[in-house]
Amino acid sequence: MNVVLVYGGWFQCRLATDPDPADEPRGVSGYVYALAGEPDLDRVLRLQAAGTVQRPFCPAVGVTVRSVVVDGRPAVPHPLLRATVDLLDDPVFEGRNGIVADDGLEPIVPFHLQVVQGRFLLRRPHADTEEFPFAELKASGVQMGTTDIGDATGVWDLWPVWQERRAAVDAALAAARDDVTRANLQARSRLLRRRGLTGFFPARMMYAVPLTGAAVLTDPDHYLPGDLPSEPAPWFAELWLGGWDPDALCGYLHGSLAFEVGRETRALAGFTPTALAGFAPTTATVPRRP
Amino acid sequence: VTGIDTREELVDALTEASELEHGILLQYLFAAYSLKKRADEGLGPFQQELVRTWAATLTTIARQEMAHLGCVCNLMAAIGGAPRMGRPNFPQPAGRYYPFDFRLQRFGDEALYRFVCLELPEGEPPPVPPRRSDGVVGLVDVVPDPLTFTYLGELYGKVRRGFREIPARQLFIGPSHTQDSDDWSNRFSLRAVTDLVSAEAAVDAIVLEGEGAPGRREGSHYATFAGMRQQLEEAQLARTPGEGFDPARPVVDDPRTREHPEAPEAGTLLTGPVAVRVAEISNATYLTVLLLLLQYYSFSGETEPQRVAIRGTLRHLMSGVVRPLAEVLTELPAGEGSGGTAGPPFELYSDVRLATQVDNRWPIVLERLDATAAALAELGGTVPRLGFLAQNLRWIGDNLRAVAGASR
Repeated sequence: MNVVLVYGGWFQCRLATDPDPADEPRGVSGYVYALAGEPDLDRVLRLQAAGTVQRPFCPAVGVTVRSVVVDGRPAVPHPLLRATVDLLDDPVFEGRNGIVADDGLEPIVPFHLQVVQGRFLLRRPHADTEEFPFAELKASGVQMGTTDIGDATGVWDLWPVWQERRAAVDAALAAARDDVTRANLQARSRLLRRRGLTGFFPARMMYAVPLTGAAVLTDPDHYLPGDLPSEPAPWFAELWLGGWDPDALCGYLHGSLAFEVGRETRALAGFTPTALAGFAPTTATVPRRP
Repeated sequence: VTGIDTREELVDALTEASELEHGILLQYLFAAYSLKKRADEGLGPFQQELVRTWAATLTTIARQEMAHLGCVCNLMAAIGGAPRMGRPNFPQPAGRYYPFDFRLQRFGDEALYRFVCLELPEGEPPPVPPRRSDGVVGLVDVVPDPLTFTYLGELYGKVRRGFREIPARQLFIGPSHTQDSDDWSNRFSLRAVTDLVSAEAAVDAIVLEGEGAPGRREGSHYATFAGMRQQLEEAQLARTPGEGFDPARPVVDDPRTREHPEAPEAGTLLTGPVAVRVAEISNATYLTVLLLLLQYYSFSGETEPQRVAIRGTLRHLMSGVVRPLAEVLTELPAGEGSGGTAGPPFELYSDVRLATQVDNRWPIVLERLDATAAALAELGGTVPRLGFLAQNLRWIGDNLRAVAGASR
């Protein structure tokens, strides 16, 4: 049976930008800086809040499963809704100032995708080892995506959002007493006046990554309609990263993970075919009911 | 001494301009790389932000100087001259080669004073000397060369007049395909030079960026450095009583790994074993950059993908290796007794020579990249960032290797 997990949410990546070296710790020549009181930049792409540096008035980081599709049919409700989606082992945009890939095409290295919901765990890496030039991990291109990004985030133009945020930052600055907070907010207030930086927001980096490394499924509560085959075929992760907010150092990630599970006669927890089921393929692919 | 009125004199003047732009940008980079970054280096939150903006400004200006060097290469190519990437080692006192002191000095009032002098427009009052001047900075009136100038703008003025003196049909013998107008993914504004109008425009753009125009100096390198000097003074006055404000790491002046006959003045000989090795690798990488620049501006039949690859390699080496190596050096002890840290020496152990045959240039550069990558990898256990840079160098070599075999 084919299962597709659709996920989305804000991620954070604190990465110095050209012409700063990729491993620049504080940010000098690009537009990304570690502000006063913040730890060094570390390049890590974070899909969950742990390890992020949350600046006030910015979106909260967290990528979760938004819908589940089994054999082409949306499964609503489904216990995997709101499951956390993560990339493990400190993945980075491995562009290295163009040495590995040009702007917007940077591979995500490593690419170890994991979905967790309570005792449920699903995990598979792109490969068990990664080697330069990371061809399969590179973005296939950069596309404008105002509609998709607007739909996903509710933000159709970042500039008015920044204007509101700048007012909030300025108000906080007026009330701030300690030098670290004041220096931090002053720098943000200046950055939030740079309208040109909001121009990244509608762009999307497009990825399609086959996952062929060792697969792991722990599903004691039978959230999925079967187990993994002993030799699973490649899974496919399709995703875009866009909606880049250079103040929050956050962007939006939207994607899906498609994989096959066996056709065991397993009870499916909390699965209900939706009204859309009638438009889906015929009975041969309908999952078994509890 | 008369003005420039022969091709040879114009080539000589542009050779001088190449060396000057090259040497000046290294001094700006050296000062930028010497700046502190972290709060644990003794910077308060506002100082940290101020110092970061200084570093950003210095590197921006240095990149503009790189574009000036490219423009000079274009001017040279237009009249049939060869690009020049060599230069005497640091330090050089005013009067020996150039009318200015050429020194690698950490960021501070003395360095900024010299930078203002370097960019000083003719007719502007000289800046007030630093309070702690050691007396070596300053401008001189005469150099022992028929080509005399006191100001950078004056040299370019002579170059500009030289272009007018020589009949254009006689002068512009360089083919147009040897002009570089790419922006190098760095917003460089390189102007193609094919005739008198474009030559004058290229010269004017260099002077305008450096000096500004009479009565409108704001935004120029000259005004920026003068303003930075003022900011430094204000920041030092505003510091908490009893606390100092030193924005730069204790980087020694004119670091070097060995003595050089053309630069007999006392630089600082590095003796810390790690610093010496990293400095040597830094010098080797810098020479690789110069060889690739020389190849790029020599237009000897490389294919377009090869030229794109050279340009990319240069960019990658500068951002991904040269600068990080320099920053690593500024935190390594220079040696026992100095009390300071090292810095990038930008030393040339011999002249910068390009192989005459295109096919020979690739293996030479690739050998150099492989050797420096291996040397850096060995040091990765001592300084972790060097392992990262070794990987960068290896991958840069792999990328270049992919196009190197496809010579026309």
